[in-house]
Amino acid sequence: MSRYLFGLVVAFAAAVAFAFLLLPIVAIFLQVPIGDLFAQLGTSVFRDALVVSVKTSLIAHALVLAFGTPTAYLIARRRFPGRGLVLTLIELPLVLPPAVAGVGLIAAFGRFGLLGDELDALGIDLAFTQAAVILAVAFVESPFYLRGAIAAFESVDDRLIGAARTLGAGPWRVFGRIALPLAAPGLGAASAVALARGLGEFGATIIFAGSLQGVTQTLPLAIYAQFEQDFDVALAIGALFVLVGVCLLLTFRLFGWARSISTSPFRPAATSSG
Amino acid sequence: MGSLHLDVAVPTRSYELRLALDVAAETVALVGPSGAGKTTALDAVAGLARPRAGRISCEDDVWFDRERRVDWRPEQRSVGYVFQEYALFPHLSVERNVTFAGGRADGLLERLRIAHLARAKPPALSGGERQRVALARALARSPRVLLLDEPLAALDPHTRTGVRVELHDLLRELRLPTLLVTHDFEDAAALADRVGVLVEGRLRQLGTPGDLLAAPSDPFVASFAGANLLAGEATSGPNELTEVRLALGGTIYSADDARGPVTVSIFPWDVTLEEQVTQESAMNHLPGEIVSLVPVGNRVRVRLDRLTAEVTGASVERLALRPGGRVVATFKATQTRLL
Repeated sequence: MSRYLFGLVVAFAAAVAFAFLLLPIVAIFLQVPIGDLFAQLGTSVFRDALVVSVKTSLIAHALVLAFGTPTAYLIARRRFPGRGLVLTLIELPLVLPPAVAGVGLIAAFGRFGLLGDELDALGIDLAFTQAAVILAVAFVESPFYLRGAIAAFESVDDRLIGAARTLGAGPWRVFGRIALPLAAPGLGAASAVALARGLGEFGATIIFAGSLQGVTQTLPLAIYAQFEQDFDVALAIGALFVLVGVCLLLTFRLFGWARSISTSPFRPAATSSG
Repeated sequence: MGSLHLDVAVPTRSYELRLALDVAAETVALVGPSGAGKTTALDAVAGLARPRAGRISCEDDVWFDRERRVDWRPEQRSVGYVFQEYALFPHLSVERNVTFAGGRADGLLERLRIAHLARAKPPALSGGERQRVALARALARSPRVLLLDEPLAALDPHTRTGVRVELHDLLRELRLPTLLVTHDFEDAAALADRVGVLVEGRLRQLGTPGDLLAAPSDPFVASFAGANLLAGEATSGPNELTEVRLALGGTIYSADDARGPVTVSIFPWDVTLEEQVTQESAMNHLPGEIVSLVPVGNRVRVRLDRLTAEVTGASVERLALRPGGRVVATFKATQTRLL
């Protein structure tokens, strides 16, 4: 009897949880007929926001990959004093509200901020520019990429690196031919998660870069700007995000699958610490 | 002919490895229990572990000299390293693994009989095939020193014997200074010109496999070489022999001189089995009960309650040996070593 009750309670809890998580997503597609929904994507607000989002996300993501990959390699392969502290600091932004990131960016790069005078002397004013959006997006998505990339490089067997070195490979070749290809599945997964986080960035951007249509108004900011004026546009952007999200998750799954076949059966891939 | 000299102190997790060794164009095996610092020794030669002090040189090149602050990077040293479990690059084909150091693979692949596997990737290969790929890769750079870390350990017993013969021939042909790490005395005896026994970071004994069998320097070396070990108390005996009262009961005699607590070492192949005690003064007799009979090649290992004997199949039949039966183990006082 009590066993039966337990099954019932668990099933009920699961049903509520699933319904709660899925209902808002389903609602986006049910509120407005699908045809009308995609017609909204022709509006100038949407097109401007899409251009700003794609441009800033790609540039920010490229910067995160370019600086984050060597950083992750260094942290994963070297043992140095204070390494634990560095790892903790990298994860700090993950537990901060994005609004705090926005305030911090203003305090650092704003006109009256830490580097305000230096930037002013160079004739650079970041306020309400796409450069500010890029900084905000890069700041918020960096920890996601770094965390996954460090775990990916740490899972590469030291003996393989050692073997490459005894075979005459210098640091560039070890990185390019051994570490990078073997860490690729993990790097790809980390990259997908970071990109998704960057595309959805809201709090830091609105505080540090504002919400100017065609300049700093990204898709999430456009949803916020539109939901009082034209709710259908907000819904349409929401629907687009759901689709992009599904695609990213599928890519993620694909990388997870690639990881399981790319390593030797004799050396199970180390699971990430994150 | 090339030669390798090392005299180093390398810190490891548990203790410091201290090893001084000259290796000419020969194979020197380092044997010992796991964690004795064997792999650390190879890593130090390859440049993958940094000694705290000492010197490593190959012919006229000094690879490492702490005092003169010389430390060549692994990629600058000329070392062919076959890693434990081989460490093949899993994402590269056999051919690309072998040509990773540059040059062509054809000749080596032919020579090691893996030409047909050139396009295969390591995870798809059998243990014996991986071993050959690892050897080919290590040799591709024409190294001046060869390092082999447990090259046979990952193989099943069936493949192992064949691969051991091949490796033996290859090592003789290459005539490179070779350091071979193994935990198996038989492998060491089959492949190496000299064997060094490494225990807790120290070289306990270095000699030919025959030296180690004939005159093990301490109980560990003796048991590693397969000897029976019995604890006892030595006193002066008749006919200039040493009398040993065994801790487990019984008295035996040895030609070695010792007093006080000793460890008696007898090799299984020096023990014969009899139905009853025959009177012969230079012979030791230990009655015992047979625990098990295990065939080893053309011989049979007979485990008694106190020691193990290795006898021919003919003796087993003649004496009708079976588990539970009682026999007398007989061995000469001159083959009874005291350690």
